[in-house]
Amino acid sequence: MMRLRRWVLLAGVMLAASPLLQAAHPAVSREMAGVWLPDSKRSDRTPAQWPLRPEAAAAREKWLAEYGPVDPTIDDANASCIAEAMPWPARLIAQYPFEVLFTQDRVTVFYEVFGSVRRIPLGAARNTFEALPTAMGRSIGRWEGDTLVVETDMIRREGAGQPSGNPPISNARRIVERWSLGKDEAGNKQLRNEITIIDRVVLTEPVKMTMRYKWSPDIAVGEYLCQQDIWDQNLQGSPSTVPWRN
Amino acid sequence: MRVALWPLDRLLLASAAGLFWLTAAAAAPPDISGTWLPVESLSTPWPQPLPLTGAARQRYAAFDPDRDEPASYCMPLGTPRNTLSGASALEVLQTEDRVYFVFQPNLLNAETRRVYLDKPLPAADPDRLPTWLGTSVGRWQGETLEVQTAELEPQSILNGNGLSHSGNLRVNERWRLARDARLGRVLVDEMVLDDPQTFTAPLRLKRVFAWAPDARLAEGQCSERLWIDQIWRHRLREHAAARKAGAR
Repeated sequence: MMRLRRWVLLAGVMLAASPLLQAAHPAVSREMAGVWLPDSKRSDRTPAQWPLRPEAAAAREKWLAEYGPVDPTIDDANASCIAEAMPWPARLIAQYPFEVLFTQDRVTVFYEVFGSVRRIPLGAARNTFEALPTAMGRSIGRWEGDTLVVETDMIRREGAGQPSGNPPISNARRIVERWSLGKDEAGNKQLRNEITIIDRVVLTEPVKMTMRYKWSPDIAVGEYLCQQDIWDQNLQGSPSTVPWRN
Repeated sequence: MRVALWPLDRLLLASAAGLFWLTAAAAAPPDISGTWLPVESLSTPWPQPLPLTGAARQRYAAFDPDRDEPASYCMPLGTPRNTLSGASALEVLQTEDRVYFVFQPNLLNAETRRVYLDKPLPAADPDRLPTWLGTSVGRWQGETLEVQTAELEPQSILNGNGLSHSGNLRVNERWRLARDARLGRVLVDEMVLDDPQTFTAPLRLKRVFAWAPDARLAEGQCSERLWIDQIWRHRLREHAAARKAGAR
């Protein structure tokens, strides 16, 4: 009996002492890590109609009256290489991969599109010093069982759809994402992201869309050189046709 | 339940736990993850004169920053300039099989160098295009991370003075932790640039980064200034046209 107790004690001490066995995340994080591609066939599209508050709809009409019609070649921030703001990189259906990386107390997402890097501290308090809105916003995450819940605010408006035809957004915009693993009907591993856009200034109710991504272990996140055309024109010595270089 | 421990038990437990920790520590590579700030005063300057080949010297003399600086067109700094420039904080992320070096220079886009551990550089393939960040592999040799980078885009330059390189540039680095009397914990990168088409002898440079756990990498938007300029100019032209139309 004494000998058994000794071994039990020893095993307990080793378990407690092992840094390798003190997992920072649930085991599901190992399955979530890696490279994913949008599964466009199985993902929701951006809603055609947004539940705009009357004052937001009026502001939009006023903007269109003053500055419209929207010319995507001029007015679209993304077409001018301004990185897409959240949640657009997450709801992209074009085939740009992204990589999810779990390290101590943090999730990092590397989007190929615009080369954006998104940092999601887990279980941390909000950093009140990061006051300026950014494209990736300010995210914190937490685990609810096997679901990773990510809340994001402080999202910049440029590159977030306005004024290129999507609904306006306010500084109060907040996004809640629920990431979970599943399988598609063919049995392939799938990452699911239920995105809820909350904007009490602009929207009468939250807008929800569910994205699905394909496990893509053989794909690497590549370089995204948005300004390549301008650089190539310069190398070729031809005068640029881009308005800002006239 | 109270468990009585004999002296032999205590000795056994302490020894086993200690041995286990020592074994784990010996097997694990050093933790270089976190945020680091470049320290110019501890870094080696570019040698003068540079050991350039004749062709490289001609290219260097002909450099026109208005025409030939990729960063002015929001193109990446590229490897190894992102590491050498001192223009950005560095964030290191580590996993069992990769090390990530993330740079986000002010007003430029993020650049993420991925170093794949314990893999050879891929065999040369003319169908594979060079990239601005190159292909990097590495391995831990004791406390030092050895990194090899190849397949680098020759359109990138090595510094702001227009020092160019060929597509055959090989970058060999040795990353290790050290202590500085003033700054404390530092990360040292000893770099060798090997490019016989550019340098008459391999070029050796050192860069030092100080541990800065509270530093945050800011989000850059290189095109922002250009975009705002574009929008404003367009709108100003519209308003000017409207005024002219109203005056007629």
